[in-house]
Amino acid sequence: MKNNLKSMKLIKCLIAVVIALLVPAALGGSSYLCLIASFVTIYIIGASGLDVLFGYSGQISMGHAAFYAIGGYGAGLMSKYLGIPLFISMFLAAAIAAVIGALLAFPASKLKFHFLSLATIAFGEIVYQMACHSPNKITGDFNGFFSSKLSIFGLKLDTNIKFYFFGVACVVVFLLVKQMIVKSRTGRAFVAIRENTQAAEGMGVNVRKYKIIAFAISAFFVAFAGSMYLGLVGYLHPDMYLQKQSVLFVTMMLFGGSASLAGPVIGAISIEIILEGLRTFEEYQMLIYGILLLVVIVAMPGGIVGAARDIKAGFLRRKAKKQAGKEVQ
Amino acid sequence: MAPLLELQDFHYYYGNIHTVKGINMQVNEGEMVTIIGANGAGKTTTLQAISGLKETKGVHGKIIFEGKEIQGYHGHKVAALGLCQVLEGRHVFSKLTVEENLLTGAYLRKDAKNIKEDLKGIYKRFPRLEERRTQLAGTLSGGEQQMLAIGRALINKPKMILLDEPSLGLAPVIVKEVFKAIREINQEGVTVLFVEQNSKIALNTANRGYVMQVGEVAMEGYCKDLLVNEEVKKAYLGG
Repeated sequence: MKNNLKSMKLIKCLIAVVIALLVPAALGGSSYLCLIASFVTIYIIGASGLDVLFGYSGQISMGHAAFYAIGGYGAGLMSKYLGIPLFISMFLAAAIAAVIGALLAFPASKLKFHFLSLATIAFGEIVYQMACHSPNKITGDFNGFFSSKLSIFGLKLDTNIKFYFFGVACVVVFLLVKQMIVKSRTGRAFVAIRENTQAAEGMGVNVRKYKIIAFAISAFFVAFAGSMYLGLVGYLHPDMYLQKQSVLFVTMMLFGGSASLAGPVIGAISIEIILEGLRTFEEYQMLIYGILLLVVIVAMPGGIVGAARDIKAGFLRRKAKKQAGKEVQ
Repeated sequence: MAPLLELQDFHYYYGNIHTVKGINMQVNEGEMVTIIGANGAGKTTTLQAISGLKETKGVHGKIIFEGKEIQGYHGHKVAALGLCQVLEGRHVFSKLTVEENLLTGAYLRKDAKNIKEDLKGIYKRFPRLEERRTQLAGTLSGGEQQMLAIGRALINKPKMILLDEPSLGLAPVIVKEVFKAIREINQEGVTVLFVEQNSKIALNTANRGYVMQVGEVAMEGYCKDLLVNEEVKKAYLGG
């Protein structure tokens, strides 16, 4: 029975991957639409990273744009000034972001809810300011930062379609890693902390250590997403890392449904589609995020995934009731 | 023989407020000891300070477990020594199922194979938990949640458990059931220290008792003596 469920899940995941691979064909190979699809792969990794932190370990961050920036600028600067190939500097930048995330979490792990979100907002602002006013203008400040496009061991990802396939591969790897983490001892510790910090501590979970680990993991994910953005677009501007970028990650995660594999994926896809559809109303973007967040929090606190789960449970309950009724007759 | 757990001149401060004012306490291996007293006497504070769930900077004096001074330890380190706290009633993980709660309790254990056996043992002790193993813990009744909290502590195979108000908010029939389980656990070799407002059932269950009054130990002794003590009778047993 259990094995059956597992293989069902596996089949669902495989179907999702096949569909993902067919997307460019469905989009008719349009370069612009493939660019959007590539952004979606980047956001899936970012939102999933945030999910490790918020969905599983229960810590909020409203400053993850900072890690997104560290990933992008870090990878770019290392490849520009140290001559490291961009593909490798992407991982290095993500690792550096993980270390910075751990350092941030060291004091921040003592904070809860709104205090933690304030601290992370402040952190986001610090990194934004550093991107705007960098020493020796290494980030290019407000002129932006230019980089060559991504190539992997000689294979140039010079078209959006090629990048999209790379993005899908990254999503598969990162989601596998995420699943492995959350199903492990570490993941159980995260959930215990989220559900009841005091009880977790009483059971022998080193709360501080695991909060720090959660921060580091999510920073790695988001920073890698940031470096992918650089590899795709080849240009960074400080204004990409404003507060609204952090809000975007949170919105995607909550809209899709936190603490699940599919939630951030669905959230990233649907929010990106909604935003693209509303591109003409760009100045109202923050307003739209706000409304979406409100709708989710009030009407479906579990996001799309949670709502689907509730509907399914309700359906099963009705069916069980009907059956029970029949037996009585 | 040295006691398993000992408090020597133990104080606790919430900032400037001196709540526990220098108490001495011993619990020997295999014993079942209770702390009774009115609200605000410092019972729960004492218990939580022992298990490291309070700010360690408020603790003054010594807490000794198995000959080791543990007063500066954080909760997770205390738990790793085999001194487990069963938190006051409702501290189960309400959005996890009963079985997930128990497995999360086994977090410290590295022998994954034997956990299944011990899970069976816990279900045998609390058959109601087995009936509800796939149910969310938040949907259990108060008594069942208390049993789950106890089960979750037991799966770590502790040497000693600390219980905070096991009777809190439970129906009298369920209280009896919970205390029966605690007594059985003690008989199987786990040392027990518990805090209780229901002095009658506490003194009828434990071997020895401490009576706390505004941060101090007012009286201590065998429960059978405390039960007939005039002062205790008047103040805590309703005349």
